[in-house]
Amino acid sequence: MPVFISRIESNVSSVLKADRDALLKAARKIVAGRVTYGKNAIRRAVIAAGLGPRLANAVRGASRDTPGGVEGIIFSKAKVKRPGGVFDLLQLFQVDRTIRASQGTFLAIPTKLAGRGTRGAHLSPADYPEHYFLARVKGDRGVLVPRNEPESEPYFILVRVVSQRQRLDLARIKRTLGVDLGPRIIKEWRSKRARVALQLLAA
Amino acid sequence: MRNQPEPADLVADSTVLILLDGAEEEPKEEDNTGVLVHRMKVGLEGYVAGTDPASRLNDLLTAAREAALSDRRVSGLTYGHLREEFKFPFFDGLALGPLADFDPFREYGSSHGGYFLQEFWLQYATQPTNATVLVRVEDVET
Repeated sequence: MPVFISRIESNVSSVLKADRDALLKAARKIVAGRVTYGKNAIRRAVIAAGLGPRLANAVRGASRDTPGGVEGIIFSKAKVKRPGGVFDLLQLFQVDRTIRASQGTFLAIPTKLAGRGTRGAHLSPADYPEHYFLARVKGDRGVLVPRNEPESEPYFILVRVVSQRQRLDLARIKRTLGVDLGPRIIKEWRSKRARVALQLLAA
Repeated sequence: MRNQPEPADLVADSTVLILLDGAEEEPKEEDNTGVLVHRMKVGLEGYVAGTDPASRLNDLLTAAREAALSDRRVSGLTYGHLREEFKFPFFDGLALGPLADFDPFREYGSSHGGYFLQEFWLQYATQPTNATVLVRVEDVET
């Protein structure tokens, strides 16, 4: 004799709605996890490049719902203002860069004699009294010495251009962030879907 | 020919412009949060569209089957118990048919008291989106 031991009576549309909710939750969870992973990986890369923990901690992450799904972003708060414009340090270290004076001829690189300012900051010639220095220039290079001690060691070395190579490459990290993102969401989603079904059964 | 700079000019020159070689674009503010480093976008429309009611009912059946098989009360239930408990009429004739991927002769008996799970039936009620899933176990000798 047949024995019926269980049954489910359910409106399928409500199940599908539960599925959509579960999918959104799964996408939120997986994307948030990827953001955290990417943020920490970039922070480690910054440290490994010798750029210091302060810049590393300027890397932030966030995720949010969008009209069509979920979005995760990793962004930098390492914005610095300079007379030449506003720059993001994390972006700067990812490219080869050429630095030159924005309004004139020379960059002034301080030597130890120039000393340090507030909180250990490097000083610039502008931090000294006007006409304090005397310039000695030969071609593309030169030095600044105190006008009242013209034979002393230079306080600043003058150069027209400084070129720096790329120090940070985040391409590999960025590539890994998208790997298997869809399948991971589906896997997480399926586990949630199964739970939904079992809950219905228990009810 | 450039004039030899005077010291006063050099003071003014000590500001810095940074030129980005190879940079594709200027830094962009991302909703006042900072400069965007990386963005991941996941669109869910395609996933939802891939969930059709029939396949979802398949999932429900699978879940019901697994739940039934894990329910050790099976061995103690009788026809009368079930009828009283579920207030459910047993009318085999209304069952519309098994799902395509179900193997009615698969054996589950070894750890469940010697039962074969013989058939699963999907019965549509008044609308296609309302479904009743019946799990039928036939008591057989093993």
